[in-house]
Amino acid sequence: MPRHSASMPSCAARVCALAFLALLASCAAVRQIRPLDLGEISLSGSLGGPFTNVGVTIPLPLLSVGGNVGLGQGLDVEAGVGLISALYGIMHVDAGVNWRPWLSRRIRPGLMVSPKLWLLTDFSPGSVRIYPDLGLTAFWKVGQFWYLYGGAQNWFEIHSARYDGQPQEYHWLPTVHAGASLGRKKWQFQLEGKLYVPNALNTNRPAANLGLGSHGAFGVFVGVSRFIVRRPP
Amino acid sequence: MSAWRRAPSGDRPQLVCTRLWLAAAALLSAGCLSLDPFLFSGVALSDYQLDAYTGEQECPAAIDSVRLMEVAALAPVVVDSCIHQFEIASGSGSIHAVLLSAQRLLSPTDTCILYFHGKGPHIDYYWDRTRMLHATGFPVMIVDYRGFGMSAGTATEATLSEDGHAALAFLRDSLGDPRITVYGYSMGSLVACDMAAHDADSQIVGLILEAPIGSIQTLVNEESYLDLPGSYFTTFTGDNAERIRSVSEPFLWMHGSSDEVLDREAQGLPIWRNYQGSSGYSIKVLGAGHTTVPQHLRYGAYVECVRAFCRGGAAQAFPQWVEPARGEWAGK
Repeated sequence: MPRHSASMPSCAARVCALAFLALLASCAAVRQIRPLDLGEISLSGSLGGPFTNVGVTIPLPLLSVGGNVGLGQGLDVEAGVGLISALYGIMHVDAGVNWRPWLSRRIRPGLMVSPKLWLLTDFSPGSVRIYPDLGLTAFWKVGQFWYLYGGAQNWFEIHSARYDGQPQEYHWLPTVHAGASLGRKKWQFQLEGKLYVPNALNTNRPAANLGLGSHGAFGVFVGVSRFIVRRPP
Repeated sequence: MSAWRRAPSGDRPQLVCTRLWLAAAALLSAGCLSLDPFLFSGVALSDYQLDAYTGEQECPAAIDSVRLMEVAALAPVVVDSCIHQFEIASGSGSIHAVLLSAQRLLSPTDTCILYFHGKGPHIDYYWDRTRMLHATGFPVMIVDYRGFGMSAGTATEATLSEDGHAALAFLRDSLGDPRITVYGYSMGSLVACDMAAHDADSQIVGLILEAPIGSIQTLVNEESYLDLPGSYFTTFTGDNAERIRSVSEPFLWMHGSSDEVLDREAQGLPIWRNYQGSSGYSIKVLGAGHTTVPQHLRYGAYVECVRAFCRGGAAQAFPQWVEPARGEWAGK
């Protein structure tokens, strides 16, 4: 009697994980890599997510949009919303500032410090969650139009117990990123690779992520920004 | 777009921002998609192939192994006359079930294993497992929930529960009211535990959970790493860790130590800890993943353990059949 080969089992079971990942993943969309200056305004969108096996391994298509408004020299305020989350009835917004202590000069990178708050709720009682996030990004200007950058976002889970009553194992959830940005006047394009939570095991969980061995999950995003108002360089 | 073009250039940023937020607000207010189908949905079939099925199965090659290597002395080979198919009314629809039994009509002293399968698409996908359970010598009934296999409809938490009750009622009212050991595998553990906890009308004499879900909430928290409410992702609220408190019948929990989908400690252990019934047994199957508990325990040993539990002789049989290199068993 012919019998059967592979184990699809987990395929079926793991598709559900798409959903679970969507939220966390879209929390790390790509944005401006250097703060805007006073009076500048830009809008941005990004598409991408962690590589997940849903039969084949693909980056989840998570979409978010945001905007930045320059407040001062090398200081802007930023806000964004996760559109995929919104489609599923979850308000998933972030707001914060980006501060640039110095610009890149020769091989010394510029630095962007980005403290933020993320707010999530599905509007049911007790569902509001707020997560502080500290982003650090080093960037280099390469030529006239390119920026290369790398850094990390750092989410902090402030609750000591999870919603299911079990102890909260992870309080620091970093996402390491590196990418390139190409832009001239109004438009700017980005390609960014990420490694989500490299300090966390990716085994024995519903999702089948492509990670660094047994840890984390790789992801990829493309982003586009458009300056609505831009000061001359 | 036309408004944008008409607007003076100085107003454009404001217009764009306004539109962005309006779009975001619209999306939020229209957030009507559901993630539930990602969790529980099967594949529609027009008929079951059962022994003729050659597609992928949950437990590949199991029955061959059981039949050829171990079961010859344990149970008779299944013949076609042992396979009975039923359509059972459930809620506003119906579900399909297959009974493996030498007798179509059971007696109140028979013990029947009622198998609630996992998230796999249909009964064919679990046919080897069903056959393997029948090798215990007990009749086995497997059902497709609505939204799976020949059972038309959509699976929701309510329909899963209705379908479980419908299967029990059918065994009780139409098939001779046998004693029932409810067996839930993976997602099916939500239905099995629900039945054992809440169906007082049937002769439920035992509960077996293999690789169970502790709770949907735990599933969410395990996946997101964060303290997020399950309501973000699904309307399902199944909580076996709580339901098990209402189960008084004997309970057997089997879980692979390397379950890559439902972690044993996070998902299964809370159920085990909260069980307060008459007699509980756990088997930690060393090295087994989500789908390979029978394989790692050895198919023959798996069959013997289930058989012993159904007969009420687990404490005597487990030391013999659970090899220390393959599993660790405990009782309480």
